[in-house]
Amino acid sequence: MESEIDRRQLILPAFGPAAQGRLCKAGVLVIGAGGLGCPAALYLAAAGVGRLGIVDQDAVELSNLHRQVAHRESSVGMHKADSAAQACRALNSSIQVDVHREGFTPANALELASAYDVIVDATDNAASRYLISDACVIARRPLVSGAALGTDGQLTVYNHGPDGPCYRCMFPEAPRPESCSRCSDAGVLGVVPGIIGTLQALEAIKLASGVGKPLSRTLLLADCMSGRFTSIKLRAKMPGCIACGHNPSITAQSLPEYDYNGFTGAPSNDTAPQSLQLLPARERITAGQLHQLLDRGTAIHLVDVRPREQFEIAHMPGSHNYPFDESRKDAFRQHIGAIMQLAEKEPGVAVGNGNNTEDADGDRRQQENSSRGERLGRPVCIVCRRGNDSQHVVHMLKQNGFISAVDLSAGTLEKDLQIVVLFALASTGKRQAHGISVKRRVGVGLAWAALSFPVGPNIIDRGKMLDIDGEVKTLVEKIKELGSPDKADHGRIKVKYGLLFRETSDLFEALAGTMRAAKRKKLVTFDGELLLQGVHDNVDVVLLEAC
Amino acid sequence: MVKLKIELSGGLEILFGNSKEHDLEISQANGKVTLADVITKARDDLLTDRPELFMKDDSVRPGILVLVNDTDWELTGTLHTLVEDGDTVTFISTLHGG
Repeated sequence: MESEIDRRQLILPAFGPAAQGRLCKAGVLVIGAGGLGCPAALYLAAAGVGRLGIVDQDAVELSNLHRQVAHRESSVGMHKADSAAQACRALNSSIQVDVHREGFTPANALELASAYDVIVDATDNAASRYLISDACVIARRPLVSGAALGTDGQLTVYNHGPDGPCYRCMFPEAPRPESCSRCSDAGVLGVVPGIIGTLQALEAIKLASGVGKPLSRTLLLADCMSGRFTSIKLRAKMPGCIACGHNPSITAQSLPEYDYNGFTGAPSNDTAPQSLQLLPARERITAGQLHQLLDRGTAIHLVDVRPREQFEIAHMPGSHNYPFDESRKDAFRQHIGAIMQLAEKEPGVAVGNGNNTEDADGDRRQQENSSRGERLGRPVCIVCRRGNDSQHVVHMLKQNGFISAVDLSAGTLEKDLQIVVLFALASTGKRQAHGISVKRRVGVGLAWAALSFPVGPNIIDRGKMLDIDGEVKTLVEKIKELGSPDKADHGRIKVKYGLLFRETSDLFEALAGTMRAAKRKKLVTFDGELLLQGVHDNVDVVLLEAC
Repeated sequence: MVKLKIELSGGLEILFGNSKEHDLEISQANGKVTLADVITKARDDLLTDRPELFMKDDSVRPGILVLVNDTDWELTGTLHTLVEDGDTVTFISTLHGG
């Protein structure tokens, strides 16, 4: 109360000391420390809310920073809840900030919701939204719900007042998973969740301090591209609602067992889809095989079917982009002619497992196939992010009589599969990539690396620059956490190489194991020396190429 | 003949040729036009892509909010709501992102 920080709102006639006093005694729980949660938490901290809880189970990634403004470049790899709490404490040391790193789950939902006065839903998926709403109904807490995607935002207050609806009153039936885009897939203009998250802080402050008219039974729509904010009138709570109606089936007893992922048909975390097995193995090649073929000068067309945005971030030199969306296969048919035309240009070599690149064999096959009216042009290798879409595309091409297409199977997470992983030169401004090959039980991180940049060492050496500093930084942080035999040298660590990866845990287990096996000394060296250098038959990481 | 303004929001515009505003004209034999008629007509005349993401059975799919002149259709009679010349019907896909 005596804080200088809050003085401007103390003298505001509409707010004043009584309201500020209530705010200082109130607890607000912000669920999700992402695009909505960051601005919401920062403004709540600045306003002097007494106790601020921050829930998140993810780590900060570089791709978050354009909208998740409580995090810093230096906090990449850190728990989002910790990072956001740090920012809030740095802003206002007079408030209490609680960190909940385990996420908001059916198991802890009621306990967490009951421990605060106002709940802010700043999550990014339908399963969490139903869970949070149900928990707020049972714990009798008002819920400030915000969402943003692309350039649109939505905001309302649920479960407030005598007739305010809950989320289930509005949406008793869960939407189809494919109609729920995430920011990570569909993109979002960073300032849009910033606007909605800031408005969420405003609603939470109004509720906690008892000032103003909260947005109950009102949905605020923000169309940020046309600068239009519209308020619409919503229904009252529904008597038949299974959460807040007269005879609820969701109760304090049943909620912890409720299958929210099953109800929404989508998991609440951003897990990758299952690997598809549409094509036989002989129609697929691995990154290592492709690398060998290209190295030998084999004429292959590379067709990259990822969305244009991903293609523009990084792609193999000389590849063509024909985006494929599984839900819109028909739209891809227009590209098939173009891909077939591409393949007409030069006679090619058959590529694929079991059909190696013997020219004579290829010629014979070509003749046979020509006589059957099928076309065998210059071979085409279809590349996508995970190795699933590429199979669909190959399948479509084959249906159209085009048989010399294979897909890059780097998504296959088989034991002992050779996966090409990129090393990055991070010590200079330019991030030139080099390759290593990793032979081990690979996890998602490695697969992602191989699929996002499905290239072998020599291909990448041809000069493709990749923007992968975020991942490198994460690795550096992790390596620093592991420590080194000589702590005095810490300040001098200059990492020349980093592994490119996304999900840290699996990969890092491997790295840590390798380091332990080699007593670290071989692996972590200083001042531009190789970061990883262990060459062991029984260890996981083998460095093939130094630079 | 009833002339309506159709608005799309929350990403639904992608299914409607990427345009957030459309005009729609409906004529019914008895002169009464309900939201059920509007939904079907919007699908037939305006929708350009993936009808299953707009409709389920005879109504909109779960997760779509329908408004008549900025009011939740639950308050006006859902599918049976009568619309009049000059009304605005809005279809909003609920967002989950953040």
